[in-house]
Amino acid sequence: MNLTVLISLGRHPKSGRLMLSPNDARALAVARRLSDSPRLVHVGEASQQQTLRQYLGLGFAAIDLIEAVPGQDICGVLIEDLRRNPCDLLLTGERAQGQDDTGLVPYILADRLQRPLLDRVLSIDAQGQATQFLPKGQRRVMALPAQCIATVSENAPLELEYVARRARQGVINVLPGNTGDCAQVYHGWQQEPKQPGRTRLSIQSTASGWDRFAKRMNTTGGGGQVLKGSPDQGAAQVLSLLRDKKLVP
Amino acid sequence: MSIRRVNRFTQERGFVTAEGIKRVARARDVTGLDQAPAAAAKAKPVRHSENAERNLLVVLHCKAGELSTLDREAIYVARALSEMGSQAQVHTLVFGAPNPNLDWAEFGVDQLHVLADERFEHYVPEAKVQALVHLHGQLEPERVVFVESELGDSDLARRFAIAQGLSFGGDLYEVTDHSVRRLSGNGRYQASGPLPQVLAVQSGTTGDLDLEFVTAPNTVAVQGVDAPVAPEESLFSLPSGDIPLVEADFVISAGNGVANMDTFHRLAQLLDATVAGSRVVVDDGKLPRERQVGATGQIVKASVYLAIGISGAVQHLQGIKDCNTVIAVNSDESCDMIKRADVSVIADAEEWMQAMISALEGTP
Ligand SMILES: Cc1cc2nc3c(=O)[nH]c(=O)nc-3n(C[C@H](O)[C@H](O)[C@H](O)COP(=O)(O)OP(=O)(O)OC[C@H]3O[C@@H](n4cnc5c(N)ncnc54)[C@H](O)[C@@H]3O)c2cc1C
Repeated sequence: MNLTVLISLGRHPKSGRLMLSPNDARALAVARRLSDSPRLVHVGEASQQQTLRQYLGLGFAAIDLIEAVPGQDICGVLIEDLRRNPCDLLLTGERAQGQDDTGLVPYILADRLQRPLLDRVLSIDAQGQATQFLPKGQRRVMALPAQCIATVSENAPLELEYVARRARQGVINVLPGNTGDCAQVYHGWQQEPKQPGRTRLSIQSTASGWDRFAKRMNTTGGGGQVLKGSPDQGAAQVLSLLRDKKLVP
Repeated sequence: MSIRRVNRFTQERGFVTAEGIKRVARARDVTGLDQAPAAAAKAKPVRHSENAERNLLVVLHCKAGELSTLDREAIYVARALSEMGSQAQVHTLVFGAPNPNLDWAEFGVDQLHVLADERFEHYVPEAKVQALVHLHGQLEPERVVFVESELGDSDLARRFAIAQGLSFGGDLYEVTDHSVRRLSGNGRYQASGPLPQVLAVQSGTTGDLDLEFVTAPNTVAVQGVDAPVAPEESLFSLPSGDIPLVEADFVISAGNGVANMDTFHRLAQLLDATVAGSRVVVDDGKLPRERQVGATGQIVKASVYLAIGISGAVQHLQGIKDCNTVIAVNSDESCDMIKRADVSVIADAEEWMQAMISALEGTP
C-alpha cells in the first residue's frame, strides 16, 4: 500500500522545546501496521533536521523535508507535493501540538484534493477496516474509502519505541518547496504567551439589584428528590429512572 | 455654622410587624406584606423576534434526546451575540430527536430546526455538511456556533467552515463581543483574533446560563434534504470494565458505606456500569487507584453517577461536577452527597443493593 504520513514538530508543554509531536507518532504507529516503509513528509525549515530525526528514531528510514519559510501556508506546499506524489492513504495526527493546533490541515487537504476524510481513527487493519474513536467507550468499525485521508485519534496508543541509533542512521531528503504562494491561512490572529484568566460572555442584566438579590435568596441549593421507604421501593424507583435513560434494558 | 441633620428614614417609611416591632427597609418602600423576596417567582417576559434583521445559527447533536451543559453554553453564546447590535433571531439545528420536555424557550432559541432521521446517526459527515449548507443558504446567519465535542461536532464544524470558505475559530475558551481566544503551541501560547464566522466553543466560555426572558420558539422539520445512504459500519462498546473512568457514561461508585464489595461488583455487572470508588475505598485496597473519583483521582463526565455509601466530601464532589444525573444511596439523610444528588434513596447500602440485584435478576 502506498502510504504517506504527515509529520509536524511539536512543542514540549513545559519547557517549550521543539520535539516530535505525540499525535503524529500515533499516526506513524497506525501506518507501521500497514506498511514497512511509509513516506514521511514534513514541511518546514531545513534548520530543524536534528529535531525531525526523533521520528526516524521510531524506526523509519527516511523523511522528505519540503522547505518552507516560517508563516508560509503549508497546505499550498503539501497539495502541490501530493499531486505530484499520489498516495492511496494519507495519515495525519488529529491536530498539531506546538503550531497553531487548529486541526484544520487534513480538512483543507481533503477539500482541495477532493478526497474523502475519516476522522479520529484508532487503528486500521490489513483488510482496510478502520476503527473510529467515539466518546463513552464506543467504537465504530467501517471500511476505509479508497484514496482517503484519515486523521488518527489522540486516544490511539503510542506504540513505537525510540532507538537513538536509528535516529542517527536515517536520512532526511531536503526538497525545495515553491515560494510562489506565501499566503497566510489565518488572518488577524495574534499569538502571544498565554495569560491566565478569561472573561466569560454574559448578557447584560436589566434586573434591579433587588431582583438579583431576591433570585439568590430564592434559589436555596436544596438537593433533588429524596426517596424514603423500603429498599425494594427505592430499588424499583432507581431502576425505572435508569430505564428512562435507556441505560438498563 | 451648624450642619443640618437629615433624617433619611422618616416616620412614614417602614412598617410595623405583627409583633409590634418597627422595621425600616432601606431603598425600597415595602409594606409589611411584600417582605418575602418573591420577585424571582414572577413570570419572565416573552421576547418575540418576528422583525429581526440578523440570524445566528447553533448546530448541535442530541445524544439520546439530551443536551449537555456545553450544548447549553453554545446556545447562550449565540444568544449573547444576538443581544449585541440590532435585533437578531437565534436558530438551532439539532441532529437527532430532542426530548420533548427540553425547554427551548428558557434556553432562548427562536427557531428550532430538527433533523431527526435515524440515518444521520451513522457516519455520514458529507450528508450533514450538505444539510447544513442548505440551511445556511436559507438563513444566511451572521455566525454559526458549534461545540467542540467528539460526538461529531468538532468534525462537522471544520468540514463546514472549509467547504464554505468561512473564517473559523475552534477550541475557543473565550468569546467576547468582538474577539475570541484559543490556545496554541501545545497550550503555551494564546491566539486571539476577531470574531470568526464559524465558532467552535469549549466549555467555560459563559458564566450564567439563565436568561431573564423567554422566547416563543417554533419547531420546523428541516426540508429539502435527502436522507443519506447509511454506510456499512458496525458500532460496538468496550466492555464496561475496560472503559477508562474519564470516558465512562454510566458509573457506579462505592464509598465507605459499602460493607460487601462482592455485592457491589455483582450489581455493577448486572447494570453493565463502570466501577469507581471514593478515596477511602481505594486506600483500603478494595479498588485499584485508577478507579478513584475526586480531586486526587479522576474527573468523571458520566450521564448517570450512582453513588452508594459516599458521604460527599468536597474532594469527592469535585470529581463529579460534570455528571448529568447523580443518584445517591445513603443511610444518613443529612450528608452532603444527598444535597448534590438529583435523586437520593435513604436506605442501607447492602439491603438496597440486594433489592436491586433481585429486581434485575427477576426481569428476564
Ligand atoms: C487532600 C485530600 C484529597 C482528597 N481527595 C479525595 C479524592 O480525590 N476522592 C475522594 O473520594 N476522597 C478524597 N479525599 C477524602 C475525602 O475527604 C473523604 O474522606 C472521602 O471522600 C470519604 O469517602 P466516603 O464518602 O467513601 O467515606 P465516609 O466519609 O466514611 O462516608 C461513608 C458514607 O456512607 C454512609 N453509610 C455508612 N454505612 C452505610 C450503610 N450501611 N448504608 C448506606 N450508607 C452508609 C455514611 O452515612 C456516610 O455518608 C481527599 C482528602 C484530602 C485531605
